[in-house]
Parts: sequence; structure tokens; C-alpha cells
Amino acid sequence: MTSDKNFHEKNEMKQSSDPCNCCCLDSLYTILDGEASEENTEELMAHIEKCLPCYQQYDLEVAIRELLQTRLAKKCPPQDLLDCIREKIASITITQ
Amino acid sequence: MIPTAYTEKEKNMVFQSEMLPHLDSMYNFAFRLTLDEDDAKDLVQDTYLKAFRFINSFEKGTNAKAWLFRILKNSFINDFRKKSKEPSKVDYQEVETFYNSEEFDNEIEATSDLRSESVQDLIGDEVANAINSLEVDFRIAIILCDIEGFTYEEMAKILDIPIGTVRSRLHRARGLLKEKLSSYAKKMGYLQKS
Ligand SMILES: [Zn+2]
Repeated sequence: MTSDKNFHEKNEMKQSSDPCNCCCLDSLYTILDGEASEENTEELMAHIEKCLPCYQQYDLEVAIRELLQTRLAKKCPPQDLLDCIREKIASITITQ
Repeated sequence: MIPTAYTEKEKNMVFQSEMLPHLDSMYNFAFRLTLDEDDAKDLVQDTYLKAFRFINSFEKGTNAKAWLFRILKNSFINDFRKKSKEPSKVDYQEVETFYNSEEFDNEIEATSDLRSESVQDLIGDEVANAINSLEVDFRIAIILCDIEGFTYEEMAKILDIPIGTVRSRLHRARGLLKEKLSSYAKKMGYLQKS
């Protein structure tokens, strides 16, 4: 956290459980999805460091993303799937 | 789009080098849609056969994975979903007017007590259940963006919808997912009941 003073001021102003009105979830998503311009990203990230509700929102979104990427078990395709596909393609190619 | 006229040899080469390497992702996507191993296998096979048949419409140098995902998604909607009795999914009107609705406020309420620490305690089964319980269009949006890392533009092409709709669908899907995760966290006692 770069500016503690600012952070605490905001903290006193706003209960941490209040939904944040200072920046919308949409711009947060745009940044986390890598779809925002560099300028917008810097601007919002600077704000997030100073605003507790925004920071918590950001932190939660990051945690959910990590959860989806790490906890969701990847399935192995059945062993014969690739062979099945190759065989069918081969039979199409021959009959053509 | 100008179709590419591949020779038979090129066809096979493009298929081998650009299509088949995505088998793992394709199978996982198919499984998340059908929630059944046999159906997933059939769906992936169908998709690859279609891909081979229509390979001339694949432009070399473009994103093969997005191209394949689009075919798989369409096969699922047209062939598989018809068989099941699931009612039609996303009501587009509902998505577009979502921001002004009361539901939006309820959603904030429902998830405002969800914290990253309680999310980190959730296990894989709970995450899978939460995703699987989403309506299929919302499930697809989360998979494409958060798991497969497609851009909004690629998603728009895969789903045949404008980028604005990609955004609103993602927004809605993430809100619903948070609600599910929040209820799991509550059930497991990670959250204080408020
Ligand atoms: Zn804020």
C-alpha cells in the first residue's frame, strides 16, 4: 500500500462492507480481463490502493479467478478419442 | 470471409498441426457443457469431423482454438441441447435491462459478505458444482473468459454476439457465480450467517 494515510481516511469514511460506488465492477472486469487501456488500468489501480471497498472487491475477483484456474480439475480425454477422430477422418478422406 | 482452397495434403497438415493440439481443451469444454463423459466424447468427435469437412473456411494464421470452440458450441446448442429438456437459456432482454433491475441490488447484498479468504477455502468440488449449476450461457461465458482466457473479441466471434453483450453476460455470470460460491462458503461455515 503506497499511501497509508489516504487509505485510512477512506476506511473511516466508508464501512468496509458497504458496496462500492466509486468505481464500477465493469471497469474492474475490463482491467482484470486485460481489455483496458494502460492509462485506465493505472488510474483504477491507483484508486484501488486507496479505497478499501474497491480493494476488497478487487481482491475477491482475483481470488475467484485463481480458484477457477487452480481448483477446477482438468479432465483427461479418453485414450481412444484421438484415434477415433483420426480413423473417421481417414475414412472420409478415402471415400471422397 | 474468402474460403481457402487447401489441397488434400494441406488439409491434413492444417488439421494435424492446428486442430488436433486443442483436443484437451475441447474435451474439457465439452464436458463442462454436457456434464457427461460419453456425451463430451461424442461432441468432440462431431466437432472435429465438422472442422475437417469445413476446413476451407478456416483462415490460416487465425485463431484455430477459437474457430474450433465456435463449432463445438454451435454443435452443442443445435444438436445436444435439443435432446435435453432444458428450457431456453438466457433471455437477452433480461440481460440488457439487468443493470436497472432490483435483482442487481439483491445480488450485491448476497455477495457483499463474500471475502477472498473464504473463497480460498473452497475446494474443487464446490467450485465445479457452482459452475455447473449456472445456466449454460453463463457457464460458457465464465469458461471462455476465466478458464480459457479468450479475449472479448474472440468471445464475440465464438458466441456470435456483440462485444457489449459479451460484457453484460460476463457481468451477470460472475454475479451469479459469486452468489453460488457465497452460499457454499456459508454452508461450510466459512462465513458468519448475517
Ligand atoms: Zn473505490
